[in-house]
Amino acid sequence: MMMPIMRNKRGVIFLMAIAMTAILLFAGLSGANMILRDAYLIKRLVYSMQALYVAEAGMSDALSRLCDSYSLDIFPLTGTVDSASYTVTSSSVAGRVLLTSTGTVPAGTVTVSRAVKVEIEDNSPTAMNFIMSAGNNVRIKGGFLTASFMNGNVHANNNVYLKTGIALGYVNVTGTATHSDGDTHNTYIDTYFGWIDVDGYPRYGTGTHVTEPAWNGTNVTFPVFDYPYFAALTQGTADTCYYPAGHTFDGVTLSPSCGLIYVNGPAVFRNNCTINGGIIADSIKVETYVTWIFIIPIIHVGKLNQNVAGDKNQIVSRLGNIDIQGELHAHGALVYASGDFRSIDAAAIVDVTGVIAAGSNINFEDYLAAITYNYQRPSVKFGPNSLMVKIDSWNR
Amino acid sequence: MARATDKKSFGVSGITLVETVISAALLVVVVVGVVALCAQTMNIAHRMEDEYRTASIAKSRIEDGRSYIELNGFDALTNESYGETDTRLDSNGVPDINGGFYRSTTVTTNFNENQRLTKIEVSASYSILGKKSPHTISISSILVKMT
Repeated sequence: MMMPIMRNKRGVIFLMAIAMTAILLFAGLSGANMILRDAYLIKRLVYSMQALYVAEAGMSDALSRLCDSYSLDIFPLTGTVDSASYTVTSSSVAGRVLLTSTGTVPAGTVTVSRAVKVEIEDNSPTAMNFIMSAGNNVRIKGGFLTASFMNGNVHANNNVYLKTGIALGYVNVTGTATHSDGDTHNTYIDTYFGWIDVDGYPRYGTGTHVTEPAWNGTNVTFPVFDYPYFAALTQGTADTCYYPAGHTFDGVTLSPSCGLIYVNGPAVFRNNCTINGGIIADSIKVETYVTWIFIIPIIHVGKLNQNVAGDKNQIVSRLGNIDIQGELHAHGALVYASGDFRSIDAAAIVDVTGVIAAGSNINFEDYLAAITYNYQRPSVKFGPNSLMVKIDSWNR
Repeated sequence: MARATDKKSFGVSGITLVETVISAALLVVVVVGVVALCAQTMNIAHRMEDEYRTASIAKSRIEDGRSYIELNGFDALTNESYGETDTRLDSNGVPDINGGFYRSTTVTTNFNENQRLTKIEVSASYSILGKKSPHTISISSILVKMT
Protein backbone atom coordinates (compact mmCIF):
# COMPACT_ATOMS: atom_id res chain seq x y z
CA MET A 1 0.00 0.00 0.00
CA MET A 2 2.88 2.40 0.68
CA MET A 3 4.91 3.99 -2.03
CA PRO A 4 7.83 1.83 -3.08
CA ILE A 5 10.44 4.08 -1.55
CA MET A 6 8.58 4.06 1.72
CA ARG A 7 8.38 0.27 1.82
CA ASN A 8 12.05 0.14 2.58
CA LYS A 9 12.58 2.32 5.61
CA ARG A 10 16.31 2.58 5.12
CA GLY A 11 17.28 6.14 4.14
CA VAL A 12 13.77 7.53 3.99
CA ILE A 13 14.26 10.09 6.74
CA PHE A 14 17.59 11.11 5.35
CA LEU A 15 16.12 11.58 1.92
CA MET A 16 13.29 13.58 3.34
CA ALA A 17 15.76 15.71 5.28
CA ILE A 18 17.80 16.30 2.13
CA ALA A 19 14.64 17.29 0.25
CA MET A 20 13.57 19.66 3.00
CA THR A 21 17.06 21.06 3.17
CA ALA A 22 17.03 21.69 -0.56
CA ILE A 23 13.63 23.37 -0.36
CA LEU A 24 14.70 25.51 2.58
CA LEU A 25 17.94 26.44 0.91
CA PHE A 26 16.19 27.27 -2.35
CA ALA A 27 13.57 29.38 -0.62
CA GLY A 28 16.14 31.12 1.57
CA LEU A 29 18.54 31.85 -1.25
CA SER A 30 15.75 33.00 -3.56
CA GLY A 31 14.43 35.37 -0.93
CA ALA A 32 17.91 36.63 -0.17
CA ASN A 33 18.63 37.10 -3.83
CA MET A 34 15.45 39.10 -4.32
CA ILE A 35 16.26 41.33 -1.40
CA LEU A 36 19.85 41.77 -2.54
CA ARG A 37 18.58 42.73 -5.97
CA ASP A 38 16.28 45.25 -4.36
CA ALA A 39 19.23 46.53 -2.36
CA TYR A 40 21.26 46.89 -5.52
CA LEU A 41 18.41 48.75 -7.18
CA ILE A 42 18.07 51.10 -4.24
CA LYS A 43 21.82 51.77 -4.25
CA ARG A 44 21.57 52.46 -7.92
CA LEU A 45 18.62 54.81 -7.35
CA VAL A 46 20.59 56.76 -4.80
CA TYR A 47 23.57 57.08 -7.14
CA SER A 48 21.19 58.09 -9.90
CA MET A 49 19.69 60.77 -7.66
CA GLN A 50 23.17 62.10 -6.92
CA ALA A 51 24.07 62.06 -10.62
CA LEU A 52 20.93 64.02 -11.49
CA TYR A 53 21.85 66.82 -9.12
CA VAL A 54 25.40 66.86 -10.44
CA ALA A 55 23.96 67.17 -13.96
CA GLU A 56 21.89 70.11 -12.76
CA ALA A 57 25.01 71.62 -11.25
CA GLY A 58 26.68 71.39 -14.66
CA MET A 59 23.68 73.03 -16.29
CA SER A 60 23.81 75.85 -13.74
CA ASP A 61 27.48 76.36 -14.49
CA ALA A 62 26.79 76.51 -18.23
CA LEU A 63 23.85 78.89 -17.85
CA SER A 64 25.79 81.21 -15.57
CA ARG A 65 28.46 81.52 -18.25
CA LEU A 66 25.92 82.07 -21.00
CA CYS A 67 24.13 84.74 -18.94
CA ASP A 68 27.22 86.90 -19.13
CA SER A 69 28.34 86.07 -22.62
CA TYR A 70 26.29 84.05 -25.02
CA SER A 71 28.84 81.94 -26.81
CA LEU A 72 28.39 78.28 -27.64
CA ASP A 73 32.16 78.03 -28.07
CA ILE A 74 32.45 77.20 -24.37
CA PHE A 75 31.04 73.71 -25.03
CA PRO A 76 31.81 70.98 -24.23
CA LEU A 77 32.08 72.29 -20.71
CA THR A 78 33.37 70.02 -17.97
CA GLY A 79 33.62 70.42 -14.23
CA THR A 80 33.50 68.64 -10.92
CA VAL A 81 31.31 68.71 -7.84
CA ASP A 82 33.08 66.94 -5.00
CA SER A 83 33.97 63.49 -6.38
CA ALA A 84 31.43 63.64 -9.21
CA SER A 85 31.83 65.24 -12.61
CA TYR A 86 29.69 66.80 -15.31
CA THR A 87 29.92 67.47 -19.01
CA VAL A 88 27.69 69.94 -20.80
CA THR A 89 27.31 69.85 -24.57
CA SER A 90 25.25 71.90 -26.99
CA SER A 91 23.50 71.08 -30.20
CA SER A 92 21.63 73.32 -32.60
CA VAL A 93 18.76 72.09 -34.68
CA ALA A 94 16.77 74.48 -36.85
CA GLY A 95 17.85 77.47 -34.81
CA ARG A 96 16.95 75.81 -31.52
CA VAL A 97 19.78 75.31 -29.10
CA LEU A 98 19.66 72.35 -26.76
CA LEU A 99 22.06 71.96 -23.87
CA THR A 100 22.62 68.52 -22.41
CA SER A 101 24.34 68.16 -19.07
CA THR A 102 25.42 64.70 -17.99
CA GLY A 103 26.33 64.15 -14.37
CA THR A 104 28.44 61.13 -13.46
CA VAL A 105 29.08 59.73 -9.99
CA PRO A 106 31.45 56.91 -9.11
CA ALA A 107 29.59 53.85 -7.86
CA GLY A 108 32.19 51.37 -6.76
CA THR A 109 33.88 49.94 -9.81
CA VAL A 110 31.36 51.47 -12.22
CA THR A 111 29.81 54.90 -12.71
CA VAL A 112 26.22 56.06 -12.82
CA SER A 113 25.14 58.91 -15.11
CA ARG A 114 22.04 61.03 -15.53
CA ALA A 115 21.30 63.82 -17.96
CA VAL A 116 19.20 66.96 -17.98
CA LYS A 117 18.33 68.95 -21.06
CA VAL A 118 17.57 72.63 -21.43
CA GLU A 119 16.43 74.47 -24.51
CA ILE A 120 17.75 78.01 -24.63
CA GLU A 121 17.55 81.14 -26.74
CA ASP A 122 20.07 83.85 -27.38
CA ASN A 123 18.78 86.85 -25.43
CA SER A 124 21.72 89.15 -26.10
CA PRO A 125 21.43 92.34 -28.15
CA THR A 126 21.32 91.41 -31.80
CA ALA A 127 24.32 93.62 -32.54
CA MET A 128 26.36 90.73 -31.11
CA ASN A 129 25.43 88.67 -34.17
CA PHE A 130 27.07 91.05 -36.64
CA ILE A 131 30.65 91.83 -37.31
CA MET A 132 29.56 95.43 -37.70
CA SER A 133 26.30 97.22 -37.01
CA ALA A 134 25.22 100.81 -36.61
CA GLY A 135 22.15 102.57 -35.31
CA ASN A 136 22.41 105.03 -38.18
CA ASN A 137 24.68 104.42 -41.20
CA VAL A 138 27.61 102.21 -42.08
CA ARG A 139 30.04 103.77 -44.54
CA ILE A 140 32.99 101.74 -45.73
CA LYS A 141 35.26 102.78 -48.51
CA GLY A 142 38.08 100.82 -50.01
CA GLY A 143 40.36 103.75 -50.67
CA PHE A 144 43.55 104.13 -52.65
CA LEU A 145 45.12 100.69 -53.06
CA THR A 146 43.49 99.50 -49.88
CA ALA A 147 41.59 96.38 -49.10
CA SER A 148 38.82 96.11 -46.53
CA PHE A 149 37.83 92.66 -45.33
CA MET A 150 34.72 92.06 -43.28
CA ASN A 151 34.31 88.42 -42.42
CA GLY A 152 30.76 88.37 -41.11
CA ASN A 153 27.45 90.18 -41.50
CA VAL A 154 27.02 93.94 -41.67
CA HIS A 155 23.87 95.84 -40.76
CA ALA A 156 22.78 99.46 -40.49
CA ASN A 157 19.46 100.54 -39.07
CA ASN A 158 19.49 103.21 -41.79
CA ASN A 159 21.78 102.84 -44.82
CA VAL A 160 24.81 100.82 -45.75
CA TYR A 161 27.29 102.50 -48.11
CA LEU A 162 30.00 100.35 -49.58
CA LYS A 163 32.35 102.18 -51.90
CA THR A 164 35.65 101.92 -53.62
CA GLY A 165 37.68 104.96 -54.43
CA ILE A 166 39.05 106.09 -57.71
CA ALA A 167 42.08 103.84 -57.55
CA LEU A 168 41.88 100.09 -57.04
CA GLY A 169 39.99 99.82 -53.79
CA TYR A 170 38.68 96.48 -52.65
CA VAL A 171 35.86 95.71 -50.23
CA ASN A 172 34.87 92.19 -49.33
CA VAL A 173 31.94 91.34 -47.06
CA THR A 174 31.72 87.58 -46.67
CA GLY A 175 28.27 87.76 -45.05
CA THR A 176 25.28 89.94 -45.79
CA ALA A 177 25.11 93.75 -45.86
CA THR A 178 21.60 94.61 -44.77
CA HIS A 179 19.66 97.72 -43.80
CA SER A 180 16.37 98.16 -41.96
CA ASP A 181 13.11 99.05 -43.66
CA GLY A 182 13.48 98.54 -47.41
CA ASP A 183 11.06 101.37 -48.27
CA THR A 184 13.15 104.20 -46.95
CA HIS A 185 16.66 102.78 -46.63
CA ASN A 186 19.11 101.02 -48.87
CA THR A 187 22.34 99.24 -49.27
CA TYR A 188 24.34 101.35 -51.74
CA ILE A 189 27.20 99.83 -53.68
CA ASP A 190 29.42 102.23 -55.60
CA THR A 191 32.52 101.07 -57.40
CA TYR A 192 34.34 104.02 -58.87
CA PHE A 193 37.31 101.96 -59.83
CA GLY A 194 37.54 98.85 -57.78
CA TRP A 195 35.86 95.68 -56.62
CA ILE A 196 33.13 95.10 -54.06
CA ASP A 197 32.10 91.62 -53.10
CA VAL A 198 29.10 91.01 -50.82
CA ASP A 199 28.11 87.51 -49.78
CA GLY A 200 29.89 86.09 -52.82
CA TYR A 201 28.15 88.51 -55.17
CA PRO A 202 30.77 90.70 -56.91
CA ARG A 203 30.41 94.21 -58.29
CA TYR A 204 33.35 95.73 -60.06
CA GLY A 205 34.44 98.13 -62.73
CA THR A 206 34.18 101.85 -63.07
CA GLY A 207 31.14 103.82 -62.17
CA THR A 208 28.91 100.99 -60.98
CA HIS A 209 26.26 102.43 -58.72
CA VAL A 210 23.52 100.15 -57.53
CA THR A 211 21.10 99.99 -54.67
CA GLU A 212 19.84 96.87 -53.05
CA PRO A 213 16.55 97.76 -51.34
CA ALA A 214 15.70 94.10 -50.98
CA TRP A 215 18.66 93.53 -48.67
CA ASN A 216 16.68 94.53 -45.65
CA GLY A 217 16.52 93.12 -42.19
CA THR A 218 15.20 94.02 -38.78
CA ASN A 219 16.67 96.76 -36.60
CA VAL A 220 19.59 95.61 -34.52
CA THR A 221 19.55 96.20 -30.79
CA PHE A 222 22.61 97.46 -28.96
CA PRO A 223 24.15 96.59 -25.61
CA VAL A 224 23.08 98.45 -22.51
CA PHE A 225 25.93 98.61 -20.03
CA ASP A 226 25.50 99.07 -16.31
CA TYR A 227 28.11 101.85 -16.04
CA PRO A 228 27.70 102.56 -12.28
CA TYR A 229 28.40 98.88 -11.65
CA PHE A 230 31.64 98.99 -13.65
CA ALA A 231 32.68 102.28 -12.02
CA ALA A 232 32.18 100.77 -8.57
CA LEU A 233 33.90 97.54 -9.59
CA THR A 234 37.03 99.32 -10.81
CA GLN A 235 37.12 101.68 -7.81
CA GLY A 236 37.26 98.73 -5.48
CA THR A 237 40.55 97.33 -6.76
CA ALA A 238 44.02 97.71 -5.30
CA ASP A 239 45.62 98.57 -8.62
CA THR A 240 44.62 101.61 -10.65
CA CYS A 241 41.63 100.51 -12.69
CA TYR A 242 39.57 103.64 -12.16
CA TYR A 243 40.45 107.11 -13.46
CA PRO A 244 38.20 109.85 -12.03
CA ALA A 245 38.82 112.20 -14.97
CA GLY A 246 39.98 112.05 -18.57
CA HIS A 247 43.38 110.40 -19.06
CA THR A 248 46.04 110.04 -21.72
CA PHE A 249 47.73 106.65 -21.83
CA ASP A 250 51.15 106.95 -23.42
CA GLY A 251 52.98 103.78 -24.38
CA VAL A 252 51.65 101.70 -21.49
CA THR A 253 50.56 98.12 -20.96
CA LEU A 254 47.45 97.82 -18.83
CA SER A 255 46.50 94.55 -17.15
CA PRO A 256 43.70 95.55 -14.78
CA SER A 257 43.07 93.09 -11.98
CA CYS A 258 39.30 93.33 -12.44
CA GLY A 259 39.66 92.94 -16.19
CA LEU A 260 38.60 96.48 -17.02
CA ILE A 261 39.82 100.08 -17.02
CA TYR A 262 37.18 102.71 -16.31
CA VAL A 263 37.91 106.34 -17.28
CA ASN A 264 35.37 108.86 -16.10
CA GLY A 265 36.19 111.17 -19.00
CA PRO A 266 37.84 110.91 -22.42
CA ALA A 267 40.62 108.34 -22.89
CA VAL A 268 43.42 109.01 -25.33
CA PHE A 269 45.98 106.44 -26.38
CA ARG A 270 49.35 107.53 -27.70
CA ASN A 271 52.26 105.50 -28.97
CA ASN A 272 52.15 101.76 -28.44
CA CYS A 273 49.59 100.85 -25.79
CA THR A 274 48.25 97.46 -24.80
CA ILE A 275 45.16 96.53 -22.80
CA ASN A 276 44.73 93.00 -21.52
CA GLY A 277 40.98 93.06 -20.98
CA GLY A 278 38.70 96.00 -21.70
CA ILE A 279 38.13 99.71 -21.21
CA ILE A 280 35.17 101.98 -20.70
CA ALA A 281 35.58 105.72 -21.19
CA ASP A 282 33.42 108.68 -22.14
CA SER A 283 35.14 108.68 -25.52
CA ILE A 284 38.19 106.96 -26.92
CA LYS A 285 40.79 108.26 -29.29
CA VAL A 286 43.80 106.45 -30.66
CA GLU A 287 45.93 109.45 -31.46
CA THR A 288 48.79 109.98 -33.83
CA TYR A 289 50.81 113.14 -33.26
CA VAL A 290 53.81 114.87 -34.73
CA THR A 291 56.90 116.26 -33.06
CA TRP A 292 59.54 118.28 -34.83
CA ILE A 293 63.29 118.15 -34.85
CA PHE A 294 64.14 121.44 -36.52
CA ILE A 295 62.11 121.14 -39.67
CA ILE A 296 61.90 117.34 -39.70
CA PRO A 297 58.55 115.98 -38.57
CA ILE A 298 58.55 112.84 -36.43
CA ILE A 299 55.23 111.03 -36.64
CA HIS A 300 54.23 109.08 -33.55
CA VAL A 301 51.61 106.62 -34.62
CA GLY A 302 49.18 105.77 -31.83
CA LYS A 303 48.47 102.08 -31.41
CA LEU A 304 46.01 100.35 -29.17
CA ASN A 305 46.36 96.60 -28.89
CA GLN A 306 43.67 94.70 -27.02
CA ASN A 307 44.23 91.14 -25.84
CA VAL A 308 41.66 88.81 -24.41
CA ALA A 309 41.80 88.55 -20.62
CA GLY A 310 38.96 87.69 -18.30
CA ASP A 311 35.31 88.21 -19.16
CA LYS A 312 35.16 91.95 -19.88
CA ASN A 313 36.74 92.24 -23.27
CA GLN A 314 34.97 95.41 -24.26
CA ILE A 315 36.21 98.70 -25.69
CA VAL A 316 33.35 101.06 -24.97
CA SER A 317 32.82 104.78 -25.42
CA ARG A 318 30.12 105.59 -22.92
CA LEU A 319 28.99 108.93 -24.30
CA GLY A 320 30.90 109.84 -27.43
CA ASN A 321 32.92 108.46 -30.32
CA ILE A 322 35.72 106.05 -30.86
CA ASP A 323 38.13 107.83 -33.16
CA ILE A 324 40.97 106.00 -34.81
CA GLN A 325 43.79 108.14 -36.02
CA GLY A 326 46.46 105.49 -35.69
CA GLU A 327 45.89 101.78 -35.30
CA LEU A 328 43.46 99.64 -33.37
CA HIS A 329 44.15 95.94 -33.07
CA ALA A 330 41.57 94.03 -31.02
CA HIS A 331 42.01 90.29 -30.68
CA GLY A 332 38.63 89.31 -29.28
CA ALA A 333 36.57 92.30 -28.17
CA LEU A 334 33.30 94.09 -28.44
CA VAL A 335 34.11 97.54 -29.78
CA TYR A 336 31.09 99.68 -28.99
CA ALA A 337 30.74 103.40 -29.53
CA SER A 338 27.67 105.14 -28.17
CA GLY A 339 28.26 107.73 -30.88
CA ASP A 340 30.37 107.06 -33.97
CA PHE A 341 33.13 104.60 -34.62
CA ARG A 342 35.29 106.19 -37.27
CA SER A 343 38.66 106.74 -38.82
CA ILE A 344 39.89 110.29 -38.58
CA ASP A 345 43.12 109.90 -40.46
CA ALA A 346 43.87 108.86 -44.01
CA ALA A 347 46.18 106.07 -42.84
CA ALA A 348 44.12 104.64 -39.99
CA ILE A 349 44.30 100.89 -39.60
CA VAL A 350 41.67 98.87 -37.79
CA ASP A 351 42.02 95.18 -37.27
CA VAL A 352 39.29 93.74 -35.08
CA THR A 353 38.44 90.18 -34.22
CA GLY A 354 35.16 90.36 -32.39
CA VAL A 355 32.15 92.61 -32.82
CA ILE A 356 31.92 96.28 -33.79
CA ALA A 357 28.82 98.27 -32.96
CA ALA A 358 28.01 101.96 -32.98
CA GLY A 359 24.91 103.64 -31.64
CA SER A 360 25.19 106.17 -34.45
CA ASN A 361 27.55 105.73 -37.43
CA ILE A 362 30.44 103.62 -38.55
CA ASN A 363 32.59 105.62 -40.93
CA PHE A 364 35.67 104.29 -42.59
CA GLU A 365 35.96 106.34 -45.72
CA ASP A 366 39.43 107.72 -45.46
CA TYR A 367 41.83 107.67 -48.29
CA LEU A 368 44.13 104.94 -47.04
CA ALA A 369 42.17 103.56 -44.13
CA ALA A 370 42.41 99.80 -44.06
CA ILE A 371 40.23 97.48 -42.09
CA THR A 372 40.09 93.79 -41.33
CA TYR A 373 37.14 92.61 -39.29
CA ASN A 374 36.69 88.99 -38.31
CA TYR A 375 33.48 88.07 -36.56
CA GLN A 376 33.89 86.27 -33.29
CA ARG A 377 31.57 86.34 -30.32
CA PRO A 378 33.66 88.02 -27.61
CA SER A 379 33.49 87.35 -23.90
CA VAL A 380 31.97 90.51 -22.47
CA LYS A 381 29.93 91.61 -19.51
CA PHE A 382 27.17 94.21 -19.68
CA GLY A 383 26.57 94.30 -15.95
CA PRO A 384 26.11 92.07 -12.92
CA ASN A 385 22.59 91.07 -13.89
CA SER A 386 22.78 90.94 -17.64
CA LEU A 387 20.97 87.94 -19.06
CA MET A 388 22.12 86.96 -22.50
CA VAL A 389 20.34 83.66 -22.40
CA LYS A 390 16.70 82.81 -22.11
CA ILE A 391 15.50 79.40 -20.99
CA ASP A 392 12.65 77.98 -23.05
CA SER A 393 12.33 74.64 -21.30
CA TRP A 394 14.15 72.62 -18.67
CA ASN A 395 13.78 68.87 -18.81
CA ARG A 396 14.64 67.25 -15.50
CA MET B 1 13.00 -17.56 11.87
CA ALA B 2 11.98 -15.39 14.76
CA ARG B 3 15.60 -14.64 15.58
CA ALA B 4 16.25 -13.80 12.05
CA THR B 5 13.29 -11.41 12.03
CA ASP B 6 14.42 -9.80 15.29
CA LYS B 7 17.89 -9.29 13.89
CA LYS B 8 16.46 -7.63 10.79
CA SER B 9 14.21 -5.39 12.85
CA PHE B 10 17.08 -4.43 15.07
CA GLY B 11 19.21 -3.57 12.08
CA VAL B 12 16.52 -1.37 10.46
CA SER B 13 15.83 0.51 13.67
CA GLY B 14 19.51 1.22 14.23
CA ILE B 15 20.01 2.63 10.79
CA THR B 16 16.88 4.77 11.16
CA LEU B 17 18.15 6.25 14.38
CA VAL B 18 21.48 7.20 12.84
CA GLU B 19 19.65 8.54 9.86
CA THR B 20 17.35 10.52 12.05
CA VAL B 21 20.18 12.04 14.04
CA ILE B 22 22.12 12.97 10.93
CA SER B 23 19.02 14.32 9.25
CA ALA B 24 18.06 16.32 12.28
CA ALA B 25 21.56 17.75 12.53
CA LEU B 26 21.53 18.62 8.85
CA LEU B 27 18.16 20.26 9.15
CA VAL B 28 19.22 22.20 12.20
CA VAL B 29 22.34 23.45 10.41
CA VAL B 30 20.38 24.42 7.31
CA VAL B 31 17.53 26.00 9.20
CA VAL B 32 19.92 27.99 11.35
CA GLY B 33 21.79 29.03 8.21
CA VAL B 34 18.65 30.02 6.37
CA VAL B 35 17.32 31.90 9.36
CA ALA B 36 20.65 33.71 9.70
CA LEU B 37 20.58 34.47 5.99
CA CYS B 38 17.04 35.78 6.23
CA ALA B 39 17.94 37.89 9.24
CA GLN B 40 20.92 39.31 7.42
CA THR B 41 18.98 40.06 4.25
CA MET B 42 16.17 41.58 6.26
CA ASN B 43 18.76 43.73 7.95
CA ILE B 44 20.16 44.75 4.57
CA ALA B 45 16.66 45.44 3.33
CA HIS B 46 15.97 47.56 6.36
CA ARG B 47 19.21 49.45 5.88
CA MET B 48 18.46 49.96 2.22
CA GLU B 49 15.08 51.35 3.12
CA ASP B 50 16.77 53.70 5.57
CA GLU B 51 19.32 54.61 2.92
CA TYR B 52 16.66 55.47 0.38
CA ARG B 53 14.76 57.51 2.94
CA THR B 54 18.01 59.28 3.81
CA ALA B 55 18.66 60.10 0.15
CA SER B 56 15.10 61.34 -0.21
CA ILE B 57 15.54 63.56 2.83
CA ALA B 58 18.71 65.02 1.27
CA LYS B 59 16.98 65.51 -2.07
CA SER B 60 14.01 67.22 -0.43
CA ARG B 61 16.37 69.64 1.27
CA ILE B 62 17.77 70.75 -2.09
CA GLU B 63 14.28 71.13 -3.53
CA ASP B 64 13.26 73.10 -0.43
CA GLY B 65 16.25 75.34 -1.19
CA ARG B 66 14.76 76.12 -4.58
CA SER B 67 11.46 77.00 -2.93
CA TYR B 68 13.33 79.16 -0.44
CA ILE B 69 14.84 81.06 -3.37
CA GLU B 70 11.43 81.45 -4.98
CA LEU B 71 10.06 82.94 -1.78
CA ASN B 72 12.98 85.01 -0.56
CA GLY B 73 15.18 85.66 -3.58
CA PHE B 74 18.39 84.02 -4.70
CA ASP B 75 20.69 86.07 -2.50
CA ALA B 76 18.73 85.10 0.61
CA LEU B 77 19.99 81.53 0.38
CA THR B 78 23.14 81.60 2.48
CA ASN B 79 24.82 79.31 4.93
CA GLU B 80 23.59 81.56 7.73
CA SER B 81 19.98 81.35 6.63
CA TYR B 82 19.83 77.77 5.37
CA GLY B 83 22.85 75.92 6.74
CA GLU B 84 22.42 73.37 9.53
CA THR B 85 24.37 70.69 11.36
CA ASP B 86 22.97 67.30 12.37
CA THR B 87 19.34 68.28 12.49
CA ARG B 88 17.38 65.23 13.70
CA LEU B 89 14.40 64.27 11.59
CA ASP B 90 11.75 61.62 11.47
CA SER B 91 11.39 59.31 8.49
CA ASN B 92 9.23 61.90 6.71
CA GLY B 93 11.94 64.52 6.97
CA VAL B 94 10.13 66.49 9.66
CA PRO B 95 12.35 67.86 12.45
CA ASP B 96 12.01 65.66 15.51
CA ILE B 97 14.47 65.59 18.39
CA ASN B 98 13.95 61.85 18.71
CA GLY B 99 14.02 61.22 14.96
CA GLY B 100 16.14 58.48 13.46
CA PHE B 101 17.68 60.58 10.69
CA TYR B 102 20.35 63.29 10.71
CA ARG B 103 20.86 66.04 8.15
CA SER B 104 23.53 68.69 7.62
CA THR B 105 23.36 71.43 4.99
CA THR B 106 26.18 73.62 3.76
CA VAL B 107 25.56 76.55 1.42
CA THR B 108 28.44 78.14 -0.47
CA THR B 109 27.56 81.43 -2.13
CA ASN B 110 29.70 82.91 -4.94
CA PHE B 111 30.76 79.38 -5.80
CA ASN B 112 33.98 79.39 -7.84
CA GLU B 113 33.94 83.17 -7.38
CA ASN B 114 30.87 83.36 -9.57
CA GLN B 115 28.14 85.55 -8.10
CA ARG B 116 25.50 83.70 -10.06
CA LEU B 117 26.30 80.33 -8.51
CA THR B 118 25.46 78.92 -5.10
CA LYS B 119 26.48 75.43 -4.12
CA ILE B 120 24.27 73.49 -1.76
CA GLU B 121 25.52 70.30 -0.18
CA VAL B 122 23.29 68.12 1.95
CA SER B 123 24.68 65.19 3.96
CA ALA B 124 22.23 62.87 5.62
CA SER B 125 22.53 59.71 7.66
CA TYR B 126 20.35 57.43 9.74
CA SER B 127 20.68 55.89 13.14
CA ILE B 128 21.50 52.26 13.86
CA LEU B 129 20.57 51.02 17.30
CA GLY B 130 20.08 54.58 18.46
CA LYS B 131 23.47 55.78 17.24
CA LYS B 132 24.26 57.91 14.21
CA SER B 133 25.58 55.78 11.39
CA PRO B 134 29.00 56.84 10.12
CA HIS B 135 27.73 56.18 6.61
CA THR B 136 26.36 59.39 5.10
CA ILE B 137 24.68 60.10 1.80
CA SER B 138 25.64 63.40 0.24
CA ILE B 139 23.79 65.14 -2.54
CA SER B 140 25.34 68.29 -3.94
CA SER B 141 24.12 70.64 -6.57
CA ILE B 142 24.75 74.13 -7.85
CA LEU B 143 21.95 76.61 -8.27
CA VAL B 144 22.12 79.45 -10.77
CA LYS B 145 20.80 82.96 -10.45
CA MET B 146 18.88 83.76 -13.61
CA THR B 147 17.69 87.26 -12.80
